[in-house]
Amino acid sequence: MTGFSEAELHGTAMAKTYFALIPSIVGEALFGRLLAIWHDSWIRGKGDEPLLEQLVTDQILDDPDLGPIARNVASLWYLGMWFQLPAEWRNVHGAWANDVTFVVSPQSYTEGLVWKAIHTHPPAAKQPGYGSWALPPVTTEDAS
Amino acid sequence: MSVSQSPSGNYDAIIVGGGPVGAHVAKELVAKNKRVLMLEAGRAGGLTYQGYRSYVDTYYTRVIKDTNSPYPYNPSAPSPNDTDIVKIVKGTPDLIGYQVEMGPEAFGSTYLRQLGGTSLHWLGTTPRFCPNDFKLKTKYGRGVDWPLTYDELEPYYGQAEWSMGVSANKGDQEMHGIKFPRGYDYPMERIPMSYSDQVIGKAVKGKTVNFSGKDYPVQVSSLAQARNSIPRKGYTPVGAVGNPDVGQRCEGNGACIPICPVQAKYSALKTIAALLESPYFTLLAQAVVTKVTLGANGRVNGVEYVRYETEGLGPNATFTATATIYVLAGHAVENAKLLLASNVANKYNKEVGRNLMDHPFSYTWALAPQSMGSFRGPIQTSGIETLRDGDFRKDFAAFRTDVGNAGWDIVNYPPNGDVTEALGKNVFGKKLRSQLANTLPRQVRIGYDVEQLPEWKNCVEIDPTYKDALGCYRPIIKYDVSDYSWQAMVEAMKVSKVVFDALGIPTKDQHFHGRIAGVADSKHYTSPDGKRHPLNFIGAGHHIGTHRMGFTKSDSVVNSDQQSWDHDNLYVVGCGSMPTTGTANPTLTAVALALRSTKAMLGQLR
Ligand SMILES: Cc1cc2nc3c(=O)[nH]c(=O)nc-3n(C[C@H](O)[C@H](O)[C@H](O)COP(=O)(O)OP(=O)(O)OC[C@H]3O[C@@H](n4cnc5c(N)ncnc54)[C@H](O)[C@@H]3O)c2cc1C
Ligand code: SF4
Repeated sequence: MTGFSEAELHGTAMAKTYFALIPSIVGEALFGRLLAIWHDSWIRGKGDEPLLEQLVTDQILDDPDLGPIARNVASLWYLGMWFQLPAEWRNVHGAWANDVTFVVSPQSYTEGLVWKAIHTHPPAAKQPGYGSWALPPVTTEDAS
Repeated sequence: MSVSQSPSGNYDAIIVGGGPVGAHVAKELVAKNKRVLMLEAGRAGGLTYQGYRSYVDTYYTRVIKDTNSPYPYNPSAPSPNDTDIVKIVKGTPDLIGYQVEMGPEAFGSTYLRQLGGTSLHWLGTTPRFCPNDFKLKTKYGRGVDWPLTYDELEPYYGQAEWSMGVSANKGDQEMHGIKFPRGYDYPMERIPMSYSDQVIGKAVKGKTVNFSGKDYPVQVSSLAQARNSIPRKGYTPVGAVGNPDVGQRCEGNGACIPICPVQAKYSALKTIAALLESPYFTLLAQAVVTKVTLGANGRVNGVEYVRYETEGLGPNATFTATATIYVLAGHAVENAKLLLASNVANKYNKEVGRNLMDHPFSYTWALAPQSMGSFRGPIQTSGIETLRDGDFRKDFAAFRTDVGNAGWDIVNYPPNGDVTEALGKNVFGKKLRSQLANTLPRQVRIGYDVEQLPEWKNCVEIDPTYKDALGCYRPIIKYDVSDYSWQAMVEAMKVSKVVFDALGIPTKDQHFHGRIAGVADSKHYTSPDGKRHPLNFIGAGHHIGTHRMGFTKSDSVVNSDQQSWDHDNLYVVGCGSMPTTGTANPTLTAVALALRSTKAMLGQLR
């Protein structure tokens, strides 16, 4: 889902927080459904990247109820931020009190995966050290 | 150390405002055992290490990470915010936020009222002005001359660089006639140029642009910056307030605007924290000065201030403080506001609040074919400084060229937009990760700090209709940009074109115009690539010229000592005193001017 390994996700120590947070925003029922379908896709597509991708797209991303939530799960991991769900979603599911755009916590910001993805660090945290910026950047090939 | 509740006793000087300029006036006076009272409108929260760290945590959790985002909102001493700036419809003032904007152009610059002032969120770029900046009228027939030359200010530049802790190599800075005395060098070595600076520098080697019939080199060079690097002999870097081992070197946090988490970047907090060791210095925070009062002899005999307990709630109480001399160092806009509200310094002319200037900042961006290593290091480490002076200034404004290190920062605030856009297109998982890795580090952004001429109609005003929660005037801003600066933006884009072409960037990935939130497209166009791109600009945060210095009492608010022509014990200091903008980020020059002015102040206090 995020393109990062389980170890990398664990490394952020954010999993527990997000696992509790998401149902508190969209309710247990929808979150439960999302997890169940994700689990199902994961088992069926195991070892077959294109199939997994297809299953996730068809069953989750293109689903009007689950797609927006799944996108928000990814932005939690990447940016540490929850974005208010789109108007069409709210028209159907009603307004949830906690569904507002916010940064979850100082840690969620500094642990955002996007910085890792682009081979740098979050501004104002995890500083790489004096002069590091003068060196050639790590490229995707070096990093993987 | 004394942060007292109700200061009593007689002071030699009262300084209004604890930003870099006020702090340096205080430093010089206290060094000569003068008793100084500093009145600061904001809270002094940054004086403890924990207090400062709480700003960093606040920054982490802010959805919009704009210039004032780390600092607590303060309705008792409000500040203008980036998010307040909107498109101005003719005839309808923009009332959002603290500043009232009348247009016709949006004045898109912010400042911060909190102990340390705007230096808490400034970038820290500290070039000197060019000698010709001081004589624009004589040399190019534009604007006005300063009542002061580069040579007269030179010793104070050195003093300011050592006091603020500037990192640079003298050789890099010697151009356009900027000279240093023999034996002088900056207190710290230059900040290493970023990888992308080096790549761009190599690519443009030998390239030129033609302005008004003359070729000028497009050359990348290291910027002077007030952030800690490797000290030269005789200098000890100043670290974080309350935790001096932290921040001894710039660590590449890349968040200089709006907050350096380790305080490797200079802020006035450092100067003020050191002053608090002295028995001659008294700081009173949460004290908003509302009025300068005059005695029968026309000299200033006091300042009135309101002290609040809790932001926006009170209780508030009004006091008067007295001293021998009075120094307004509250920032260009606030100084003008205070003079206007007090109805002082206007006996000989109506210059107070007039000639408001900034460096209109116009930018371009592109996607390089290879990784530039963007999003690493301080937000800027280099510039193209070769177009800061030249004969073309007869025709259009000069400019400083910022070569950014933070990708398309102000263009679309990456990476949030990039992530949400990709997710919206169902790009997930490994594809998302590699798409981000393959695009963001290739982002290049080049921007222009354009010189602006003094114009009477651009100003700060007050009106009883517009007051803040404490009952103080809100500043009313009228602002426009003349063709002299617009034309410079047109020409500047040629520099971007040279850089982008030299990097081998395909035309489709070169961008010369974007819509800026809150800013209307102008009727001015540039076409460095043969297509027509409407121009626009944002503010640089360089408020200049609201209480300008001049040669006579009829043409200006203060003399070259920043002393009021009307009231000999009143000094009005800061960027507001500058008659023209030049192209240099102004704070180093404002601090140098302030240091110079303390000679006159001390003369009066003898
Ligand atoms: C985003 C941004 C980036 C910048 N980057 C640079 C840069 O790279 N290089 C550069 O040279 N400049 C830069 N600047 C400009 C720089 O921050 C200012 O020039 C500088 O801070 C001005 O110093 P000052 O002491 O005059 O005013 P300030 O730093 O604004 O301090 C004024 C102080 O006075 C206090 N005050 C105001 N009104 C009152 C009152 N009525 N009573 C009591 N106290 C009052 C305020 O609370 C504040 O503490 C930047 C500005 C911005 C907005
Ligand atoms: S790059 Fe980081 S450490 Fe250096 S001055 Fe900027 S914020 Fe501070």
